[in-house]
Amino acid sequence: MDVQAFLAELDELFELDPGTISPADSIPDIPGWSSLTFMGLIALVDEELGITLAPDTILGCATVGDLLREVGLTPAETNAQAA
Amino acid sequence: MLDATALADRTILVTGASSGLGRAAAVMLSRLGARIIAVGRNEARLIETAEQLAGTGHLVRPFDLSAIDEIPGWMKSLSAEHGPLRGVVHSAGRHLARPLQMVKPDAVQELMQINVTAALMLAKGLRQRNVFEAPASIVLLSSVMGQVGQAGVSVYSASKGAVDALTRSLALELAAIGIRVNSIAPGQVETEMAQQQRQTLTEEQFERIRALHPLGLGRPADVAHAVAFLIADTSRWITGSTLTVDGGYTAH
Ligand SMILES: NC(=O)c1ccc[n+]([C@@H]2O[C@H](COP(=O)([O-])OP(=O)(O)OC[C@H]3O[C@@H](n4cnc5c(N)ncnc54)[C@H](OP(=O)(O)O)[C@@H]3O)[C@@H](O)[C@H]2O)c1
Repeated sequence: MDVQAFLAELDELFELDPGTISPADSIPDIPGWSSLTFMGLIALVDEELGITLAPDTILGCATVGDLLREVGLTPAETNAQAA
Repeated sequence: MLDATALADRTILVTGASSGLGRAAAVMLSRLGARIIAVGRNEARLIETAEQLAGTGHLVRPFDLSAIDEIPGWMKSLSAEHGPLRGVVHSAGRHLARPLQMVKPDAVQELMQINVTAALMLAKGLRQRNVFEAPASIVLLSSVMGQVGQAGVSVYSASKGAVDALTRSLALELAAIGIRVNSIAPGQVETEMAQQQRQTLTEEQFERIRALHPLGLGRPADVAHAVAFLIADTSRWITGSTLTVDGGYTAH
């Protein structure tokens, strides 16, 4: 899964229009951020990337970009793929 | 009375015997004299369970219960080979924690298949002529989530509510042929399933769950004692009931 696809999954989880969430966004400020979407995020990373993220790792991520790096997706890849 | 001969010469099939509550139940029943047929998919882990069982003559029979059509025939061949069963403990099961927007039909299907349909098919398998010997007892592992709700756990809750409802109707249908059916609704017990759940919770969320259990979190043996009581003749006048074993979780 590439960065764009992952961001699209995030938009779906938070029920935002496609293309809303970007790497610079602050995670706790995403509209709809709650213990339920938190649970969903862990499930998403597990199902789509096969990575078990510790809850505290997510809490340690300030931005979506930090989260992308934690799961081995770097925002720079987006540009590479878009190019 | 529950002593080391309470289940002597009785063969009990235990699903989910490769882990957690099923393993603890198998060990407990073996200490009361039962011969265990340990079922699950992971053979190595079933063998680990077998090594912990008291007494001799136990069997390890790997089987994937999602092959639900095959369950009755498989039970028929088990009993043909090893004699009639006196009980079934269904502890194989799955948990799912997902916000609704992430719930997919396939995952619902899979969970219902193992938690509910397999339970029904095990009862169907047991009731066949020569597969059971009366008095026999079926114990289905349910959960407090079948009685109270929790956000994000709707699919699992629905499956456990179904297990409790199934227990009542099966009890009525099978009473005449000497098979009792009961379920056990545990609160949070420290097992692998609980460990997996814990990985989706922050320390703070986990503490909140712990605090909702006035007697603290359970141990596998707490549930295994309830299984033993319901499998043995100590519960001969109990059928169609759900025994809550939850450290006070649902007393709120
Ligand atoms: N632990 C708790 O706090 C708790 C609380 C309330 C209710 N419960 C209920 O108690 C039961 C046991 O839970 P647990 O904590 O012991 O869970 P667990 O440690 O995750 O064990 C689940 C068992 O199910 C078996 N299983 C899963 N799918 C199977 C399949 N298709 N075919 C055959 N076996 C299968 C697994 O064996 P293989 O991997 O070898 O197939 C494993 O032995 C479940 O019904 C659960 O919902 C548990």
